[in-house]
Amino acid sequence: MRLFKFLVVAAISASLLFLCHSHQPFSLPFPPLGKLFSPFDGFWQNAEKTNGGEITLDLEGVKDPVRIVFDERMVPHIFAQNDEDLFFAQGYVTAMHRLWQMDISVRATSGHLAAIMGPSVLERDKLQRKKGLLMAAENASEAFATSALDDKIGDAYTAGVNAYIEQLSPADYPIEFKLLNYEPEPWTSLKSAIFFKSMAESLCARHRDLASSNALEQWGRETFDFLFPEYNPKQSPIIPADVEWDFGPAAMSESEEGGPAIGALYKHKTFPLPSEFLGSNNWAVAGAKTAGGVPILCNDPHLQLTLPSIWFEIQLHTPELNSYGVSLPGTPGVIIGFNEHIAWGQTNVGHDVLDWYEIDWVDEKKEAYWMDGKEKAVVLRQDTIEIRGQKEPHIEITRLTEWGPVVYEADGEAYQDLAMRWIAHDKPGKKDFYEVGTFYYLMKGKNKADYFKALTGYDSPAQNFVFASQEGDIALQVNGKLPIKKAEQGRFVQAGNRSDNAWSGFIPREEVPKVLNPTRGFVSSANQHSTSPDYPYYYLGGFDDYRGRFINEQLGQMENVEVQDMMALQLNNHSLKAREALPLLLGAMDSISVSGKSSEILDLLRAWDFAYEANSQAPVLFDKWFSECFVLAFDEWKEPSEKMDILYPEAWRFISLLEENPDHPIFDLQETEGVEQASAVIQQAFAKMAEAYQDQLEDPKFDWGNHKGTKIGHLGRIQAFDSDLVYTGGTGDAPNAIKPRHGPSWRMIVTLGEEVEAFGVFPGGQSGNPGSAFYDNTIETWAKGEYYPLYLMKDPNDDRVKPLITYTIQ
Amino acid sequence: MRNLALVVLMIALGALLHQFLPWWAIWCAGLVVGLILPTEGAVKAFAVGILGGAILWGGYAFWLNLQNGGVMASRIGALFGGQSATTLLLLTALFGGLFGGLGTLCAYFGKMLFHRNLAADSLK
Repeated sequence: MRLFKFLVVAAISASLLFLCHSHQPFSLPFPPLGKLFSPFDGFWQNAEKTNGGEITLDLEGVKDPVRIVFDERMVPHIFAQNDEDLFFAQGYVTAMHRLWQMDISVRATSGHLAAIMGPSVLERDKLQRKKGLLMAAENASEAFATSALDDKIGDAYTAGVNAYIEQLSPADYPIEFKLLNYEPEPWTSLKSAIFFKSMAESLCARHRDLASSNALEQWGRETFDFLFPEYNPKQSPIIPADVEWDFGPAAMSESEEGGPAIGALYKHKTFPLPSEFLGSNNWAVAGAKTAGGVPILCNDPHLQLTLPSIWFEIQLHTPELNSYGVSLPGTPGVIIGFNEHIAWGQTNVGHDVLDWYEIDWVDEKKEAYWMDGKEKAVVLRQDTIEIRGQKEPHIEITRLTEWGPVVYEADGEAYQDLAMRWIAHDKPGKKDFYEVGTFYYLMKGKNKADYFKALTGYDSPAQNFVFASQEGDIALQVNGKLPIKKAEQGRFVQAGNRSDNAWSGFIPREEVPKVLNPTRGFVSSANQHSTSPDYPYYYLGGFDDYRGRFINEQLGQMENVEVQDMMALQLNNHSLKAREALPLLLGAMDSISVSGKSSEILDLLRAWDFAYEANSQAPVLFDKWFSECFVLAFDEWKEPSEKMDILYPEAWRFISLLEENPDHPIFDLQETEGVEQASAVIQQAFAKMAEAYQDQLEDPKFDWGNHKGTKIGHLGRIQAFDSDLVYTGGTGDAPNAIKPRHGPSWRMIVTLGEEVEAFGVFPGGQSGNPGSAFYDNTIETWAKGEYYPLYLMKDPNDDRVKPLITYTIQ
Repeated sequence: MRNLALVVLMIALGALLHQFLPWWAIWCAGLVVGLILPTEGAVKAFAVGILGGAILWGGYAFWLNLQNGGVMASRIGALFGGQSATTLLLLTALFGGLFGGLGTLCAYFGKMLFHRNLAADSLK
């Protein structure tokens, strides 16, 4: 009997211990619950206390003592005696606050998620490997290692991250490691390169070659050209139109044009792409236009808004360098920031640097393809993908051609396998320094010469680098490695069996679009075309006109600019698209009589000032009306779009059609017998919009802020770690481009007087720990349109900053 | 009084073992305390383990939650379908008590087993 009792209790103990120690027992979605609830090991250990103090760390790896002052917002101000110690400390504090984010970003980009999340994410991993993200990072990492400067900084940063990881006990792991039940692995320089490639994937991997080829095939050349002009005649390019080019295009290959590959519709579903128009704004105003007589530089990069935030604020200080700004967790240096002499910032360049080539296989084995009449063998790349819960890893085989990896594959269909030519795959050419070096020289920069020199190291993803200096210069360069293309090259899928379809080299860095101290007194970019059509090199891509046109219009009118004016412009919710489209829509309503709720809606819209304010109803009504018009007008697209990706005209083109060609057959509705014009489309769309919203007008919750429903989501999609609704105005076409999941991920304003004055804010917090008071503490400030002063401390005792915690590393 | 001392011992030993062992340290603490418990009945052995484990886990979690201002608890509460910090603390105490109690009970019955075997051996 006693034996029985003992065995029963022992068996209960063993099974409960086992159950509470297992990850996802019996396929239940639970982490190990015993481990998670133990206050010595689990989530309670991540309940971070916020009281301060002085902490001394003894770490191998620093040569001289390093002081780190964390200010009231937990921004580290690092004071080191040399570069190695500085970047070591940057790696250390970044890992301290963002270790899981660093890990998951690298896994997601390089296709290592299945190793922690199991077979459900295997397809995603396979696609990342096939797209060559890991291969691209390996190429970049090899090149970075050849630069003494990049290598030194990268190694110090890596050592700092690892010094932090090494002293962690499992109880200290970030909460996400505990929930997913895995351990942090050592950081490597390859992982930093993968992080750069994750930015390339977000910013320069968009393409519409398949959708364009299909549209061309479906509608024919004439209609295609009519609906898809490359330039908006109203555009206001980044480089002012009066800038003259003193060069012709470099020599191109003389052979006849390859031309688009036509003859088949491409049925592949374009793989998931980052959001269209991940936009950004930056500008610099010359002293002649400012109240203080000194330049002011502004930047707000619009990215996916996540928790933890994509940005980590930091000050880096040595006797030779003193810089403040935001860094990317995973890479050393300040990416957008300023020092005592200059300030810089970036927006994305929309040039298309990802093209598709149809592979002409020699036979069904797909081991060789035709190129200029000769057989070429593919190179097979093997990627090993570990899968959690499975003993055998998956081996993904990718066929590499001269163009790049074959990503779109269709079994048994001729002419449907497509190879990807992407600039971010290229191994960078031999240079003294690369991306890391670029930011290092910007952090140390004193004047325009330093700025232009720093930019030479930077290849990808191409960025519009804005610049202003205390010396009074302002500049903007469309900077990066940009392919030389023949007209329309890369607009459509191209034949992959002729080498003259390849890019004709790269635009020499001296000839990329740039402008220094233009007569108009400001430089600015907001993802629009880089230049007017007279730029000697052909380029195409995804460009966004409205923000750029509006910002240039506003800056052009401003005089005696003060910091408050710049804040107001960053926070401006005015949509030029609405300003141009709404009168056209309203005009079509004049000929019909409306009553009741419909006339109430019309009055609301007539009184609207085109500002997407949070508490306004008009933006909801206009957006719906406009998109219903678009859908009705392009009803011809409905059927083909069910079978394939097919390009839709851009909004600006649609608006110009409404204005200039209201009787174009495009407006004829397919479902009706009669022949409709634009006004009929607009009236029908209005009825649909009114039907959807007329009963909600009295609802106090029916407004733009609630309708838009901006939320900042957790990076690992753990909803409990998301923000609540962030009630804000703004829209993609306004300078304050707050969308439901994207928006100004960092707002910065710097005046370059004798004493640099700077302001900034990002929505989130310095800590990546959901259990920290610094996880989401700045969201409200950001949503309200307020800024924090940014203090470039002169020394660790600078009394403008109240230290929260001070670290000494020795 | 002696019972109280045993609970305190359970708490102290648990806190100590948690410095070196994974989360199941509380069960091990129960084992050790169960072995030195006088053989006065399974209920008492179980109660000492439950109380010691619950107070240690619940109390420590309470303190961590307090100095965190409840930030983490509200996030984890949301993760478990909107539980309050109090519920999480109770759950934590329950887990600590359960494994502490299972530890003492295991040791208690083990000891009893050992005693009987000894007695049986001596009879031969």
